[in-house]
Amino acid sequence: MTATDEAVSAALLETKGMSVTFGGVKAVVDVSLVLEPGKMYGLVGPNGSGKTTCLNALSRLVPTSAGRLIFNGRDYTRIANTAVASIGIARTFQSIRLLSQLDVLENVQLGADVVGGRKRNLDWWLGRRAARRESAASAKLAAEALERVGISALAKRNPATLSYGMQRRVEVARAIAMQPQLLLLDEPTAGMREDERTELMEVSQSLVADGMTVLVVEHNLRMITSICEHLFVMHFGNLIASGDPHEVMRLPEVQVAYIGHGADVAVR
Amino acid sequence: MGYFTQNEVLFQQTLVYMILAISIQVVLRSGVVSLASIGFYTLGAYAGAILSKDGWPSFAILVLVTLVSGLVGYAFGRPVARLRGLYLAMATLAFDLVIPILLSNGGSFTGGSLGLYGIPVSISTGALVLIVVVVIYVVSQIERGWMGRASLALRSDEDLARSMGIRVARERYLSFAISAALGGLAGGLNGMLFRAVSPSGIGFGLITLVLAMAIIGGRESWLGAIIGAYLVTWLPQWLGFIGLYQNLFFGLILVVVMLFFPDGLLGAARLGISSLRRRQIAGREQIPTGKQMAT
Repeated sequence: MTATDEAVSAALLETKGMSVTFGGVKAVVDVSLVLEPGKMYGLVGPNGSGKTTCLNALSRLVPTSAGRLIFNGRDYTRIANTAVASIGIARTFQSIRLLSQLDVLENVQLGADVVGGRKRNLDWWLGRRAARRESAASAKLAAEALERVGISALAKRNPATLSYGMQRRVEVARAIAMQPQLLLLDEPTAGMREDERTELMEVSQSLVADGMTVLVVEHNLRMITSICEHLFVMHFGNLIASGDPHEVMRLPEVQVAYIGHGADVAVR
Repeated sequence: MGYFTQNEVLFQQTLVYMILAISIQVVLRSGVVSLASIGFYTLGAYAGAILSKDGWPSFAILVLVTLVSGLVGYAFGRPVARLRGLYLAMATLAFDLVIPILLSNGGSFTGGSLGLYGIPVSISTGALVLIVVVVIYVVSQIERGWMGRASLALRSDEDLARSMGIRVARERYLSFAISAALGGLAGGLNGMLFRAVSPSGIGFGLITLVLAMAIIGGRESWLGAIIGAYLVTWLPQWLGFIGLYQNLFFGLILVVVMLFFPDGLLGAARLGISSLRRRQIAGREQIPTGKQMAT
């Protein structure tokens, strides 16, 4: 077995020639990624380069037109997108997607419910103790996730009354509550203050330290290169570079993709 | 007691409308704009009347029409629930309006345009209250816990629901089936209470009336449907002194609620309460950052 084969066999997530097309538009073209367990990965690229589509494909919210998706050695290219959460993949979205009808804890419970399996048996209908226990377990998971992102005190607040940065944290907590092996974060720090960004990235790093794999789509190159162990760069739907973040950002094709010829991307 | 006896029919009608309004609220809460339960109400009423003439007891009739309506609703929901928004509303509206026409042409089996009279079984107001309590219990179970959260996610953001592992299609079919079952039950009860079913009483007027109940009360909870059903049923009684102007008044209420309280009267009440609480909290504390909270 070669070194490459070993890396592939140890992979948590692997895509082989993943492509996504919308009508005649090729949004993602032949992208092959390998994500190992317990590492933080970054996915960067100019606007419209296909980063979010890539995440949507990994979470099966958009169908792939070609290629294979493998998670924990199992091909999940054709499974229902509603089954992705149960195999261990959680995600956040580029825009805030919290339910204002629910308080913060209940929003996070929406993620924790995945772990409980959402059983609708006789116990549930009759409101028996077993059903109440499951509900309490989901609330406990959600409370732990809130604690993890440092907003336990806001559990009973309506998310609509929180600052943008706090709402982002609730979204991350909801994804953490799903207890995933792979966490996909789509621009989690967009619109946040510098201190809020740092705090959230510290949370992400602590998740990685606990064995979770995190793939972050981010525009802040300085931050992403400082926290990630491996960086992927996309441009016009293609994966143009992959490797050590600092080395990757020095590659001429990456510099060209970002700001044109002859310039140095400000990531020092 | 005198007041109750004097208004017993209105009380009974209110209870039936409560079930019917809940049947619409259940689907609206899940983001499914379906009016099909009115069609099932019609089918339930006729099925109940026909079975009673064959000697079936009232309890068996109610169980049967509820279950069959639910099953047919589930089967009906599979192709129809793929439609969205107005298209779904139009398809289910067509379903509601076609049924009375078919029944009018059903000959002696359905009583033609006159309908069926002299239904030989009845149900007491006490039993009706008990049925409404059971319906409220079942629906309140759907609104609590993970199912309540799932139905809200389903209505607000389907992509979010999918990424949270909520089986969107199955939940839609299920809410469709529950709505149909409740519609069938309300129809069966209505036939037994008033001993007659007729296609003339079922049409666009009934559809808008029940929809108005769910909208005025609020679609977020069964409680909104109960409030809406009570208000809309009793409004003509309270406004009897203004004669035909009551229709104008009713329309005005509907417009005001839709304009200023899109979540209905229940939503407005909840908004008022949470706004009061927020003011109290704002007076006491400021939102800390994560680090401040950790220390």
